[in-house]
Amino acid sequence: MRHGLVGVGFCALVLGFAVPAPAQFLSVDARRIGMAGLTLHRGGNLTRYNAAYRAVPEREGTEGAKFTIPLPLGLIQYFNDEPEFDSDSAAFNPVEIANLVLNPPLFYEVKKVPTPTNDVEFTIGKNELIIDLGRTQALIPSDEFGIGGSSRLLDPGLGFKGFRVSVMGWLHHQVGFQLGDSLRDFLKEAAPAQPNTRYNVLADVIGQAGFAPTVGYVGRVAGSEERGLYVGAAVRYYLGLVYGASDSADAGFTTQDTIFGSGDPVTPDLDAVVRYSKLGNSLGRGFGGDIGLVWVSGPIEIGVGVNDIGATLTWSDTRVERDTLNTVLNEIITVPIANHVETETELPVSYIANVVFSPGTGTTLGADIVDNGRGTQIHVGGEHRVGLLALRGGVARDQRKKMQFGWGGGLRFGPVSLDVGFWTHSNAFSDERGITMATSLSVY
Amino acid sequence: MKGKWLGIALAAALLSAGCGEGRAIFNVDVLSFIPAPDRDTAYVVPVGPPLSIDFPVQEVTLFQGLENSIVDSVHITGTADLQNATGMGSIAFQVFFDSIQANVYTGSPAISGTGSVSGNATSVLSVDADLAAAFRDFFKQPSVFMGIRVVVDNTGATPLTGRVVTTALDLRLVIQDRVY
Repeated sequence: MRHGLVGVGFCALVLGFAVPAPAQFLSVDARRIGMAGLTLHRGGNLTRYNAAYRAVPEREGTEGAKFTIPLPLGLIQYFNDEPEFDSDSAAFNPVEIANLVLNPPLFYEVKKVPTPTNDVEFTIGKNELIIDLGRTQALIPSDEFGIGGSSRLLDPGLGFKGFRVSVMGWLHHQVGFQLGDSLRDFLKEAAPAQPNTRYNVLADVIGQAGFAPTVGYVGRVAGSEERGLYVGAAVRYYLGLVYGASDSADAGFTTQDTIFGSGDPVTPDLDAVVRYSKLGNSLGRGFGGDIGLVWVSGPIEIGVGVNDIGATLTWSDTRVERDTLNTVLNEIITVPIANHVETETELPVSYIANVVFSPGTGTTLGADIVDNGRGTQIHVGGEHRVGLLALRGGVARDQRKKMQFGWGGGLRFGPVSLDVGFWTHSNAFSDERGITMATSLSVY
Repeated sequence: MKGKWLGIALAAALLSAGCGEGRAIFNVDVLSFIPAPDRDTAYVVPVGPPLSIDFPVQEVTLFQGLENSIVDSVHITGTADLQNATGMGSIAFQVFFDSIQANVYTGSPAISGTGSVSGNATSVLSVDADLAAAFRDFFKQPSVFMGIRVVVDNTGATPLTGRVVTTALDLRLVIQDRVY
């Protein structure tokens, strides 16, 4: 454990950047995939991030399916070329396993992203250590990096004439890392390891979950269906069930006066102040809300939605502790700092801005900008329907700010459509793109 | 050479190469890990059969997690100063490896070089070679034992005396990354 503190963190860092970017949208709908993640029907991102869309009637030809069944052709490919799970085997590759988790084999890989060559070179002497990571150096972040997001888990409720009362489950997690200067130079610049020098990583972590009774209203407040203004608003009373956080946790190690001297060459350390409120403690409480607007004017509709505005929770019964690593006992020592104190947490604000143009010729075009707490995503695309046939295409900017493309089509037979969508993706090492094919069956 | 903590850092670094085709290359200054008294030896060889002088065996602690790796190559370079005082003859510089300490000097040398000496003069002996396949697999283990042997052959009519000083000993290990 001692020596894994930085090593595991580095593993996570490298893995996170080495594998292809995870699917930027969790969708099994080949219609949406064929438009590079754009949502045109009253579902997906539109209703998730803009409450007003719940009141806007569906446009003909862009209605959402009641349900969509993915046709996992990717499993055929997977079973033909299963990765090795036995860690003792020479063919075992944890990067391949990690990629499997981040990109489940539902879809068929038409073209895989080429894997580049990247040598890692170590220079070692009794008082010398240099690690040259080659092309991976470009991925070592200079600034803070991390993962996280805010999710809504179910939202059952009752509605009447636009008003709705519901209870929404929510989950928020955020992890941020920052390499210390010495460690960053060691990894990013192949700087020689120095004796009697500390190498460290700073981390900010928060996780919280709960539920929120909600009162909301969605409806048209002006104009008509063809030309009107729709509003959606919700006020929530956030109740937090559990939370844990640590600001500026500091983990690292210090080299000896000789890099590879006698005994352990490094002395690890950990110092973290942890705040938490366990399940069963007093609930965290706070108010917040959503607001959304959609303006419909003939073939054009423009929407803006903001979620979790002002969502700050006050936790009245928080415990604060300090965790440090005792290198003699080789265990983490916890020292209480305060108990039954009040702390506050916030939920990240997420938003969407979108536009849809549907001139009535069987063509629907759209674009949206979404920020869900994990970076901004941009989608532009459209669909053209001719009889039974639908043709789709789109472009998107992924989480690594690379342009990706989608295209596809479908055949609709009454209440059922068979759709196929292709989209491009890439990893951090290569500018070349892979192509994945999705197929699904939708029932309207 | 203490490299145990490198096991985790090595695995992490090699994962970065594992995302694609890649190798891990280790350039090790082996001499820096040998205590100074064990880097040189004096010789006094009368007229007669060659004399073998074995340096103390050194344990070279390598990297954990390489057991499933494929060793592409192991290349060793080394130099030694042959500081001859009197006499004439030849000196062979041999490097041995084995996974068992007691067996280090029982097998064949992994690499060997020979230099001539004569009179009161210093000459430089160099070795530069790839290890044969039989020796490469030693470097997949967490540690390997290394020995240096000097064989002094007096070809003159007077005692051969002097000193052999190892001045450089470097190892370049190239593996395919299978550090799991």
